[in-house]
Amino acid sequence: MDEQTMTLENRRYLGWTLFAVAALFAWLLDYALRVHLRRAGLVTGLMLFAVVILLTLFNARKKLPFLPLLRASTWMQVHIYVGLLSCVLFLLHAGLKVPRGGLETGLAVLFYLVSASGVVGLAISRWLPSRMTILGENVIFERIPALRTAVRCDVEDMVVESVAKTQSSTIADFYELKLRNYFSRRCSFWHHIVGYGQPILQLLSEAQAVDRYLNAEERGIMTRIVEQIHVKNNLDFQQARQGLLKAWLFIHIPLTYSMILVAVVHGYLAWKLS
Amino acid sequence: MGIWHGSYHEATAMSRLQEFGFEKSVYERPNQKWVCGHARDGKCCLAGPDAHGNCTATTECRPLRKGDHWHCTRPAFLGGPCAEGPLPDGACCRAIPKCTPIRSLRSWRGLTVVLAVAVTLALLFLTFGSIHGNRVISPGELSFSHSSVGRDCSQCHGPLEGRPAGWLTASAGSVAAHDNSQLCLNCHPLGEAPLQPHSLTAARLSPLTEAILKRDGAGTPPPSLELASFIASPGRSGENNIACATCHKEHRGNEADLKKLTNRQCQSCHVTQFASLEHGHPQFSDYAFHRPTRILFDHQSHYQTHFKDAAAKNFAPDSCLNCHQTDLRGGTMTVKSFETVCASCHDAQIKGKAAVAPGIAFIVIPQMDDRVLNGQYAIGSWPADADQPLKPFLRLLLSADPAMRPALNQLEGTDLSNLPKTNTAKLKAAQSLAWGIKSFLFDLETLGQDELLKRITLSAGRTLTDHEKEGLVAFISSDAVRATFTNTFTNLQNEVLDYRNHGKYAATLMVPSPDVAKPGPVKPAAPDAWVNQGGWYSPDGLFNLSYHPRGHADRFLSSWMNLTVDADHTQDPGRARAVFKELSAPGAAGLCSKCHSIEETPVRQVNWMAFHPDPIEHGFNRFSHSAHLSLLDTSGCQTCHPMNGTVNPGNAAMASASATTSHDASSFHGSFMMIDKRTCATCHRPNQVRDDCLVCHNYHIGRFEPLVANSKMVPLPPPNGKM
Amino acid sequence: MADDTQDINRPQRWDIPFQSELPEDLAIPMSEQDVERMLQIPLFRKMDASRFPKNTSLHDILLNDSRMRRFKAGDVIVRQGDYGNSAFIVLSGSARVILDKLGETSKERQETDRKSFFSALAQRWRNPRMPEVRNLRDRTSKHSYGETEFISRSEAVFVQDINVIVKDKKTVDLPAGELFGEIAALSRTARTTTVIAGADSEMLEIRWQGLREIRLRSPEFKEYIDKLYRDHSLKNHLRETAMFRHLDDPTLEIVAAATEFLTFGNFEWYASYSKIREATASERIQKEPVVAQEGHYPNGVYLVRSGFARLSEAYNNVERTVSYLGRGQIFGFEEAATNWKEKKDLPFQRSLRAVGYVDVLFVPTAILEQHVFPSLPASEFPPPYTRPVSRGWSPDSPDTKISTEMMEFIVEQRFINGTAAMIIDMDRCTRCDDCVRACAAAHDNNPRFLRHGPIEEGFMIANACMHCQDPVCMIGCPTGAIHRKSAHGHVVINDLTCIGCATCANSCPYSNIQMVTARNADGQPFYDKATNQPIQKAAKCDLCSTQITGPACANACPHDALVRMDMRSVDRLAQWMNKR
Repeated sequence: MDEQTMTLENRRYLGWTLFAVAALFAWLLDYALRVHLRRAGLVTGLMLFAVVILLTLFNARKKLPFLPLLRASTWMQVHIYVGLLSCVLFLLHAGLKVPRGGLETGLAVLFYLVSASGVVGLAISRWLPSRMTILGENVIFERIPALRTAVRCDVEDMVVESVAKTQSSTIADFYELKLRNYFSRRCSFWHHIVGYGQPILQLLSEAQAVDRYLNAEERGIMTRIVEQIHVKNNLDFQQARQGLLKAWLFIHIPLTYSMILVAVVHGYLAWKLS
Repeated sequence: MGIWHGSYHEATAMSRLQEFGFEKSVYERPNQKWVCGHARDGKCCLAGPDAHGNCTATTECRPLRKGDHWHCTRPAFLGGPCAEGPLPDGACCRAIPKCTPIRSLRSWRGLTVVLAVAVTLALLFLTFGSIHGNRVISPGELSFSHSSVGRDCSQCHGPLEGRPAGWLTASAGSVAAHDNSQLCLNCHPLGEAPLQPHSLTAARLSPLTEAILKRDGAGTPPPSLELASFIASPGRSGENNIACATCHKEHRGNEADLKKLTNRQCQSCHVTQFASLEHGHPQFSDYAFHRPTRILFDHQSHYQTHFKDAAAKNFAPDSCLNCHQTDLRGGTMTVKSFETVCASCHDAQIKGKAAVAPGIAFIVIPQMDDRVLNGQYAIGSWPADADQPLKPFLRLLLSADPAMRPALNQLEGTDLSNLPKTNTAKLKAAQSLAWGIKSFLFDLETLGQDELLKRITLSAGRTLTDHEKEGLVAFISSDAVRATFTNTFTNLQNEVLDYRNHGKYAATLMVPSPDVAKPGPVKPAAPDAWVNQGGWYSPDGLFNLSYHPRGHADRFLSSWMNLTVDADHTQDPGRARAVFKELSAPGAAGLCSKCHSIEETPVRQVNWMAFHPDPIEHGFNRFSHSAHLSLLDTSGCQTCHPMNGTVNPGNAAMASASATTSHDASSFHGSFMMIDKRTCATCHRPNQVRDDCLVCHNYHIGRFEPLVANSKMVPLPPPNGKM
Repeated sequence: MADDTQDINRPQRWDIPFQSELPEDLAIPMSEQDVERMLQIPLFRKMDASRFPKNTSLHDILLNDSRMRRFKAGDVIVRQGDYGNSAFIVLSGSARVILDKLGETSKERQETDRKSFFSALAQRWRNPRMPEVRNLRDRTSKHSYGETEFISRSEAVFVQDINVIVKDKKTVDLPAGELFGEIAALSRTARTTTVIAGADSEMLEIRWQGLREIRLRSPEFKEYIDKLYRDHSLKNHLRETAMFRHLDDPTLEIVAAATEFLTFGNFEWYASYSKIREATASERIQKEPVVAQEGHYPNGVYLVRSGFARLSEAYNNVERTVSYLGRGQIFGFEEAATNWKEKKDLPFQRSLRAVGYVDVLFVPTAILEQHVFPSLPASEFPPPYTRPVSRGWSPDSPDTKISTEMMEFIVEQRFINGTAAMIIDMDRCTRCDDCVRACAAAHDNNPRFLRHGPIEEGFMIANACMHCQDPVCMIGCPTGAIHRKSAHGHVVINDLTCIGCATCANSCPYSNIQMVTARNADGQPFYDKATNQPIQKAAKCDLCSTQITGPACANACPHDALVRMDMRSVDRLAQWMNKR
């Protein structure tokens, strides 16, 4: 069907339906084999392995964008639902209990980690972006450090300006005391992941407190500085969320390869010793 | 504020950081491996890091010489010519501070992948390399019974020895599950077809299958199973072996139960599924035995009549357990010994009281028609008052001598006491018969038990065990024989020798037999009473050697019955059968066949022993009486075994010596009612007492010899080393 | 020594003359004599050579910006629907213009320089590891990264059985000395007709840079060209529009005669655009030249020929954008037709304003009522008129499913110009940069767009070439390095002929063209021997026109966040924006 014209909702329905059918079939096959005293474990195991390989191929496709290998979004959908299917197959294959063998336990743990990280990744991929769009300017992740530096320099210029213009050190003192750290570091990662706004309230109120000691000119500068506080806060926010959106793959992908390696060994032994 | 800003101000009230103009914002290259170290300050130089992550920055421009002047050539997009201009030597005055390039995010991710793979491989190699590796790769602790195997995988897994690394190379191709099963069988022998369904050979299994199919039809498998069959087909019985591991899952931990089996597993072949014992399980059809009871005992008549009459009152049992007890394993109820159970009433009967004939005639001189047996048909001296016909025992013993058989056949059915004068053939036969008897007696007197055994052996057509021999002759003594016959045939020796020498008897004038000793004033006990505790005697006449049974399990009778029960396999079936008929006739001496049933299968035999379970026999069903005895209520055994109210032909059939070989429910009614499965189902029901298949059924069927250490006999070394 | 590998002569205009963009078997070397012969063509003989400056004399223009082509009878010279960058002058033989539409449209045609599967795969390891690597030392080598478009044999198709085509189609034969193909060349639009060689003939092909120089210098040439337009393609253009399709030739003649050409705004609008940006929305609308004013008497209908027009309606004191019109769309037809049919006198319901620049044909109402409406089939008439209710505020703009802000936004920013604008749904985009990496993989390890840009309602219009319907970036290019591919009109840059003058980058109103520094395989910049300045090249998205996959960015997006959108079809835009 045409990816373009299908609404995402319809595609979701389609995906779930296909998933359900596949899962049902897998369950049935496993049941049938067990009933007929065949070695169901071997079959489900092979299916699971094949599925994992298919899932891993998504990465290969990303490395070959210049070949006509379906759209990445199609792959993504397949990846999601087949990923779920792999969990079903795993349950059929290993059940819910923790395996007894050392190798098997390792393999199971790897699978749990990979699939869990996958689910988490999907969740945040759908959840984090929407807020990032409405709150604050969207910046390119790699450029955030540079931009933060730029902001800091601006603010420092303002501070210098304030001292130069009005021979008072109020703003400078406040900057030294409260703002320097804030502008030179990435702040309150988790705040930005879970919610938005809390981290700088403290800072802002303090800025508010300083306000009474400022004359008109200083106040003008101070407002500009406060604006920069917001700007910098947004940078932290962007960095935190975009960072997380990239970080989860640092678990998902490497562990996948370890899992495949262990799975090969496990499969070989199972095939050879059973 | 410019139009480009517009969209942002709708979102948030803060100034924009990014510029989109091509001079302001250059291509971002997340695909590169290295990023300039100054990137975080937004001060990347034109050159940038090289492929190996070294900073290649030099100066901001390469001054150009025009005439004798150097000119700054810093390009416009880097700010245009600088104020200071080049140094006199033509070098650029603005050297770019070197940076240490950093890896891009992507590059890091690549590294983590490599790292993960490396670590995994390392661990795997460590595991497989070490001798303890197999502990790691073992999929779980062994069950209690196998835990002695320890870490030597090769005991159950084919050719896998030493450290796991070796296995990868070991024995190309898979170690088939069946090969491993062979290893199981080393310790768990399961008969000749261990891996076949039910460990039965196809030959034995298929008739059973047919029978079931006949009984409840092909059976319609439940939809789930049909659906399953759609995807994978079950192995047809006998066709393929079933590996042990199919049902017995190892590596499930020390406390795991290897014998655990689900109903579903049974029902992969037994497609007629049912919910529980209560619902769907077929009613018990053939209670309780496929074979007639070894001992023919009519509970009915005993309860109704015998135990009631005065004589038996004090012996009458007051509970089943007077006569029955569980066997050692508690599985079956067995009958206690004759002495405990039956002797009190039946011992006397066996010893002859109330018997038709107290003893059994063994060698009896038949009456011969002496009117015609003279002249050329002379038979020598013959007791005139012999009045018995030729008896089966003697007939059998004579027919042992092949020379006698024509005569015997000739005379089959003719009355020896009244022979037709004219029929020379019969007369001739009668003559030789008579002489046969005489010479048998002569040999018996002279040679004794050996002569007897010689003839028995000949007629049996096989060699006899010592045990049989002594049973068969039962201490027969020369005294008994002489006492019986010397007075009858005074001149036996001469007659026989003469007959043997000349082939005929020289007619001499009759010698009157000498007088018998006059009976004294004290009348001796009647001969049969005289041997009340059994033994040889000759009743009234002088020419009849009889045997009086010595009580229960009399060796003479049992031996002779065993010898002749399977007449068809003896040399002279007809006469053997006759002997057996005499021994087993109702009311025959010893009354053996009153209680001991005779069975055709597999070979015709007399059931001397009551049923005793075979400890190494595994049948399809199992039941433990002892497990249930504690549960019985007031009605005791009758809870399950209610008496059969009606006396019926079944019992008669049971009582008769020719008991039916198998009791089919239609015609046969035992002393007890059929057991109703509902009785079992009162407790054996879902979520009460187990009611799965394996509670009452075995999977592996057959007689499985337990494994015994087979230690060879080695001669001990001589005490002091030399012979 | 590292230096001399990096030091080259900076490429100049006319380094690569027009003729040498032909493959050897087609190229015909132009000698001085040939040029002299050309100058004798009446068209050029009339011109005053003194008007041309020294460095770009008419002689040089002909030498470098024109080339000789030979065609067999029946060869296709230009194909309708293709995008042309040059005009032709018949030297000998004849050119046969097929006035009617041909079945085959350019959409069905493959790009001529598309990679094979394996050469596509080869990019996996053939791509350089460093950014912007070129092989400028030998320019003809296969490994000179960056594509050059040659006219391939497949393009010079022989039309099977010419008679069949000519038989049932209207055709016009152009004798020697005639010029054709200039509209596409000058107005940055597709070829309006197919032209085949009537006989074995010789043509002089002039690329539009040269044509524009000449047009600039000689007034008579300019009016000659305008005359040509009226003669050649006005009628075609009219015949294309539904309301005139049913007319017979004589009537069409009359209509054509009465038709006026009107041009609003500046043909090179990008220059003023940067200034306009600074104004507020309402000011900007006021600055836009009005084509037709809401509430005025509908004195005729307007056919947009090229450029864009904003369709707006009064909303209290301000103008509110309702939609926009592009090439081939009509304004005022409903009003005029309704007036004639229902005997009403309805004024224009909306205003039409030139966005930057619009080129319209104006057909007076009188002519329509006299010659067109009477014979117009009922099906062509608009539905009975009902007063539009959309005067009050409504979240969506009345004609479309797109919100008013979005509509304003894309018109303000003139994204309506894009035929392949990159729109990113920021609510689905996880900033994974797969699009950027895919782009780099498909372009010798160089991304060709920036994943940032203005955002409206969570939709980002990223800084990627939109392949404008009216690509103003091409205007200034001195070498024709930036040009349209003939098949689909994708705007691409011929890296070999690009001299890095940054004219295009400056002209692009959306700053979607970047100037990059060419480097050698070690990643060290090339420097110009003369000036010691690094060699710059213009770079931009080419819509992966040489790839077999189509745009890699859109294909590589795992979250359906990125699309290449043809802004001309508002419906597709609306559909995509509403699909989440």
